[in-house]
Amino acid sequence: MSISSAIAGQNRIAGKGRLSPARTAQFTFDGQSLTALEGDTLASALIANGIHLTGRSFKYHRPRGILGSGAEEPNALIDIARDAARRQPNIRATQQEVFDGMKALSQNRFPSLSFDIGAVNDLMGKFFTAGFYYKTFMWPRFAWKKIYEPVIRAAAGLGTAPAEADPDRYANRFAHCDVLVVGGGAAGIAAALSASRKKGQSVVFCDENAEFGGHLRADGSVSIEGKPGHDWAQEAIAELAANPDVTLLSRTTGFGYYSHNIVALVERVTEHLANPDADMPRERLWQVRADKVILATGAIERHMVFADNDRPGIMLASAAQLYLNHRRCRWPQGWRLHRLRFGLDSSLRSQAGRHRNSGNRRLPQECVFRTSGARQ
Amino acid sequence: MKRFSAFAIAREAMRAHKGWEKQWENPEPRSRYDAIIVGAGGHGLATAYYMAKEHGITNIAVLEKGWLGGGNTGRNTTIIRSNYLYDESAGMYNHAVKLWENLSQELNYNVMFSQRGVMMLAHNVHDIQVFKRHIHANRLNGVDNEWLTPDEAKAFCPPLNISKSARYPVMGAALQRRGGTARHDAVAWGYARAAAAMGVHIIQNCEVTGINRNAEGAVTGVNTTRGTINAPKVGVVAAGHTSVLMQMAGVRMPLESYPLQALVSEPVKPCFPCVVMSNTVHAYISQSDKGELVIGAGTDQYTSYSQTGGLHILNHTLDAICEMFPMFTRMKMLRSWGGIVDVTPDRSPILAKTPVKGLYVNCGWGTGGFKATPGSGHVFAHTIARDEPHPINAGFTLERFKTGRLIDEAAAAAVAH
Amino acid sequence: MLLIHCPYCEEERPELEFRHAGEAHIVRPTNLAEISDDDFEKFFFIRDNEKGVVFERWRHIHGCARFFNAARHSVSDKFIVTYKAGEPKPKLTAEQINAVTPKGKGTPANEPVVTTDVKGGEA
Repeated sequence: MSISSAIAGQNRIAGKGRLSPARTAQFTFDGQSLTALEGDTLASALIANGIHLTGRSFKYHRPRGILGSGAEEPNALIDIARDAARRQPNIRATQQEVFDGMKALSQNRFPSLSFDIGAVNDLMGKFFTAGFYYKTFMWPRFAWKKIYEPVIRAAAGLGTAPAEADPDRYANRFAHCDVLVVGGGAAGIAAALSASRKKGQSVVFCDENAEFGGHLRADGSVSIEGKPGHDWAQEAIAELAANPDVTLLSRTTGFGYYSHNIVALVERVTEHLANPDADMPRERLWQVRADKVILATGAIERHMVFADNDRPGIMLASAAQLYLNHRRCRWPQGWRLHRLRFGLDSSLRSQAGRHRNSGNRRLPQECVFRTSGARQ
Repeated sequence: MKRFSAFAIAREAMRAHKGWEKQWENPEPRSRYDAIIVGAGGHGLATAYYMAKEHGITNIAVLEKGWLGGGNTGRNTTIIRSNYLYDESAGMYNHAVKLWENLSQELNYNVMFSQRGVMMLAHNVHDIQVFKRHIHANRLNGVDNEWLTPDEAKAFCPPLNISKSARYPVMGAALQRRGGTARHDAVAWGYARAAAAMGVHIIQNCEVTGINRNAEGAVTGVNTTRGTINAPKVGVVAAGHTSVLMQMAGVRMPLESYPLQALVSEPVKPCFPCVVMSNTVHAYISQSDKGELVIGAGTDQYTSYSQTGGLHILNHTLDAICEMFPMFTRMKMLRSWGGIVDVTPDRSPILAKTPVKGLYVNCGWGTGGFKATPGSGHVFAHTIARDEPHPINAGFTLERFKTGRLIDEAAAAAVAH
Repeated sequence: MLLIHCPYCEEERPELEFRHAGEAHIVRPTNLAEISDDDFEKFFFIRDNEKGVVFERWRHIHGCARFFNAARHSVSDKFIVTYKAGEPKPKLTAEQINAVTPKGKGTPANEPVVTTDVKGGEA
């Protein structure tokens, strides 16, 4: 075992990734105390600690693991708490950064994540077909209000709403700029660079992750202007950060494009901090009116269709790449990677150690890894 | 049509669900029908259903430019209530509530009508006076409605903030226990399935581009993107696009179309037991059977067919929600969307014959048409089939803007549109 | 939130400063008490509610407080022109209307500009 086994989870690969082993954070998942590296998302910290079962599905209570690495994550929805009043349900493990003292709880299971009574629904799945509730529960009539509806309602929802009044503060800011760039991958960085180099032009540039770079963080095979992609991105961000006409907003999601070029952004200001300044808002709503808007939001890898593709251990290739190359995570020893099908991509080279000279540099569209030993 | 039941589900479960029939067909339009309904939303489909069922007219086409139930039927916050002030409205909306109460059994389609109670909050003395007047008027019309003190309101809806230090303190509430919600898509699908089973043609992706009339001025049919379709009777049930369609027959309408937005939160376990509305701080909220908080916002101030509204409208609504329910400030909103609502000067609908022979119109429901779906369809079917209004919609004429006999429900409308 | 050019202040200001005031160019009869019910209905209640270019009144209520008129497309919500109250309805050119008419089936208010001259990426 390498040194990595000592730091923040046994499933780390020394020399891989960009997270420093120097700084760690303690957190709990369903009461179990775990260690993460600073910069880990909850998802990468769980993978590093060998935890792949992260939740239960909405209706059939099927076991669910981490599928993606960002906003596309449909499965790993976790309840995140700082204290009793500062808790919110349904947070994507792939987006939540681990902070010291964070309490993470899995959802939609009883009595525990690994033994969930609701999973009986999966066995009954052929009866609970799509829209089955439209086709039944009509007789006898009084039973709808007294029996059927209360039972259906009790089964609803994934997480639990906060019950206490919120002690945090929120801020609102209006901004005007010449160019707004949403999305900090290669295309967004290039657009922001070129816009910022025109004298006097104001630029707002946002990305929903903690660090800019998008897929350049994950794909080591890309080079831009003769430099490794990630290095190019870091240099570009440094140039942008030094430019007083550029506003860089990380951890900031564009969520609405309104009339006359108003774009709504939400900036998560303190969600990643262990001890946030009490004067800082938890979130800041930006309403940006831009002369020009550039959407460089990239692509989301399409999941392949096959039986049991929702099980823990099934992961998008793009996500696996990010966990490996950026967050230095790997699968537990003894698991094997199965390449189900090649889609397009160069990205598979680094993963599977194969060369495919497809000549196509787009994000992977249809490639999925499946790990054996992953079935829960 | 095979009936839906627990037995049918069990039977199909045993054969991989291969035996389910299509719930409705996608037929090619015939060249001629006895009647055409323009618009396959809840109201249009209900109209066709009741024409077939109660009036024996089954040779009907329901024409829809998009997909059925894809307009305001699929975009509203599904609130059902009948606590309107005037006799005409009480008659109409209570008729609807009675039909709602048996709709699942009638359609053999569970529309999940949930009578969990609709509570309207009073925040000032004027609200109290208006609501108490409504309560008295409703009771005279046989509509249940009762006054709650702030403590009683809190007991009925525990998340409610009744602190006196609230910016708009709750001073009481009017509660209609028979009010509630229904599953909006199921309403459209249930009516579509039941109507199609009686022979009604539901023709989607078929936009009406013209209304044809003969030398006497009477309607002869419509032009569509799928060809000319003839019928002696045409009922326009097109919500926000009513003015556009009626213009094709040369009828100008007392309508304006506005964007109206709604939004839902992430799904959470049941935490909100009823429907709460507040006209004064301008928000309404309930929790769906899936667990999402369903929140209605206001209209934008300008007329528009954009199906999008401004972010400041949503912000305003969420400010109000967070003020009334402080526990929700950390909840995340998942989706927001807009629809186009057609608003009349008196905030009451028009269900009537028009100056053009054979042309009927059902419109002007503004921000609150969903609740009326079965009642509206039922009386509009009567109006078309008999060429005269049902007693319940006799007051909802187009002429009232000429005669001055308005039904001014601006105070009962949820959104001050 | 719309961005509206006030023809009196001669600058673009956010919608919050303005109040929409309904269809424009409806002439109030000077003999209101004498006109027929038909004419009163036409004046008071009937509206074009056009899907396309609309002529409408706005009031810069939190600015100069004056009424003015605008031509706007009611699907894209984009303005063609604003002009002072009392000025005649402007004659709009096909180009002006085209420029604000949504193309394609995207969300009309935010119709993106589709550029076709971008070269495909090469690896």
